[in-house]
Amino acid sequence: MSKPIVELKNVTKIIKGKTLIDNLSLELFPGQITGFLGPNGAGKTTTVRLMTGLMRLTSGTITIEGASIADDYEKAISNVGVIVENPEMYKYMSGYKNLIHFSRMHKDVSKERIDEVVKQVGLTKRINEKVSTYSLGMRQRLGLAQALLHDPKFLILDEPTNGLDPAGIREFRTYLRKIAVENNVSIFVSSHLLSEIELMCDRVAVIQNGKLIDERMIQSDEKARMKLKAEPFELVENYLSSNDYVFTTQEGIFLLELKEDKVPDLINELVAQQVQIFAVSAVHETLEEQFLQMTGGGQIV
Amino acid sequence: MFNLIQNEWMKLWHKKGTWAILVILLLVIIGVGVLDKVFMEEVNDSDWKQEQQAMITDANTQLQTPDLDEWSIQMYEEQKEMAQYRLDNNAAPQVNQSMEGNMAFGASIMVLITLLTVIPGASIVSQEFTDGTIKMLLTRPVSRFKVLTSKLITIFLFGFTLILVTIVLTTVIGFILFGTATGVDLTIVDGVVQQTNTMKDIFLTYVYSLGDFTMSILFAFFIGTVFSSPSIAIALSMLFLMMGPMIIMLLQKYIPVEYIWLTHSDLTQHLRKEFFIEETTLFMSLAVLGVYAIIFIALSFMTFIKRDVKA
Repeated sequence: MSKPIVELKNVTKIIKGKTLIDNLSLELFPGQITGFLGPNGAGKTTTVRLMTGLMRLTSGTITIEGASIADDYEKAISNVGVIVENPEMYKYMSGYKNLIHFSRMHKDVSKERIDEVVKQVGLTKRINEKVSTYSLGMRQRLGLAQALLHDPKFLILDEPTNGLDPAGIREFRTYLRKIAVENNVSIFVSSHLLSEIELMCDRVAVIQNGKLIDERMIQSDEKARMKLKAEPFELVENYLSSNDYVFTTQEGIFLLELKEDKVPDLINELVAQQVQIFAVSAVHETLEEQFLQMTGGGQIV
Repeated sequence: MFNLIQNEWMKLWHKKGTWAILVILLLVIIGVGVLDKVFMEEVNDSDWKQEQQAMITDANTQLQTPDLDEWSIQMYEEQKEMAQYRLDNNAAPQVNQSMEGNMAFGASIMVLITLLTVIPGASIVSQEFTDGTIKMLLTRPVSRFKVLTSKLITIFLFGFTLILVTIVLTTVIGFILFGTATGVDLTIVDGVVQQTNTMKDIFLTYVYSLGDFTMSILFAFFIGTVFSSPSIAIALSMLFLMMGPMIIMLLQKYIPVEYIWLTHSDLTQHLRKEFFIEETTLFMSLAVLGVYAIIFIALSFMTFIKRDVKA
């Protein structure tokens, strides 16, 4: 794995005696899309605000490309593109004027670059209209455009698909994947939509009560599990345990940890033992199930 | 920094309220000029010398009256002196409205200009918070110090633009409607009759009105930044601007009001030599205002730079 572009070390935020973020450490890598999951009030948006300098750290450090957000803010943030919650733009100006406005706050954003980004997010037709006439989805696109203007190496998106239609979400996902792979951008997506995170991200970090409670890769084959229905029961059980398979049984069905490419071998061996096989199927445990398991039913504490 | 000011200027002029402010100012200036023209009767003053002569005779007659009080005596003496001065120096009085008169009117509406500048001054920071745009504005490679500085500069630029518009417009409209002055005004300084330097008076009125102008804007900006509520900031600064002298009158029984900025912010007191409380030196007034200006600016910057943005 390459060097992390963003490092959060022992990040803590206390407001009025209440610990919102508790000793959170996390590393984010170039070219990787990391999902940030958590129940409501877990501290997702607070973490994003700390990473973008909107809020001050109580203790700990956040560095982006080696520059500390607390001590070297302008350098640290120059590599970051942000959408915090809803992208609130200046409604009384056109989308284009909004982008001109933000481009003036960065170095070297040309008019051509603005046009390019507008085209990428699919707003060319309406860009000269006032933002107050935009739908939520169009504002979301404009929000993405302003975050991408300066070609950031690190993109923070808070609830990015809010208000997009299914086609828009799909397009958005493809686009994020593209910039992650082609431009080696690190993307940090906070969302409560588990299915979204599952489809979009390579990796997920889960936060609850301000603490990071889990961090894992998505679609990893290490955890692949198979459901096996076969008889006679004792024979299969004996065979599995004597051959060091990890498994559990449930109402006559075996649940075993097994990679897909090992399945034919197992079947061959069981058949050779005169075992009758009724069914072998992969158990697809959705992120939602994992998430609910980890956060204890997602209760808000 | 230039880019940031350009941004603030662009946002300011994309708001309808800003144009409403300009329209109000234009209506007042044009309206008063036109009303003056329509309702003021042109006085033919070709026989002004006879009138001045009559005033001297009248004053002499009045002075004959027995048991005349001191104040009346002084008034008639001055009337006599001025009339005599006009006859001796062939200085006709100005009886009709003139370009100069209209320009003086411009200087007298500095309070209105101040009020109109206070509105965007109070909202230029706070509206970013109420609209939620502040988080888009602050997540850029620009320090909060620079962002706030650009906003403060922009508001003063706006105020000075209004002043400039007023000066130019009252001059142009005054010239078109009334033409330049044909007579002179007189004043008596230390018992000696002098011709009034109207242009100098107008200029000084503008300059001395900058006291209220600057302090009201800084105060509105400070309240708007600290409370992030445009309405509170506009209401408070208008209250202080309009009721300042009254507040001072009420407070003077309880606290030493000479150390409150409201006592000093109307610097035209020094021009008129009439003071709300008691006579002070210009230096004392400027010193008090300077201290408060620094306090308002410092508090604005400290809160803005340190604050956790939750909008």
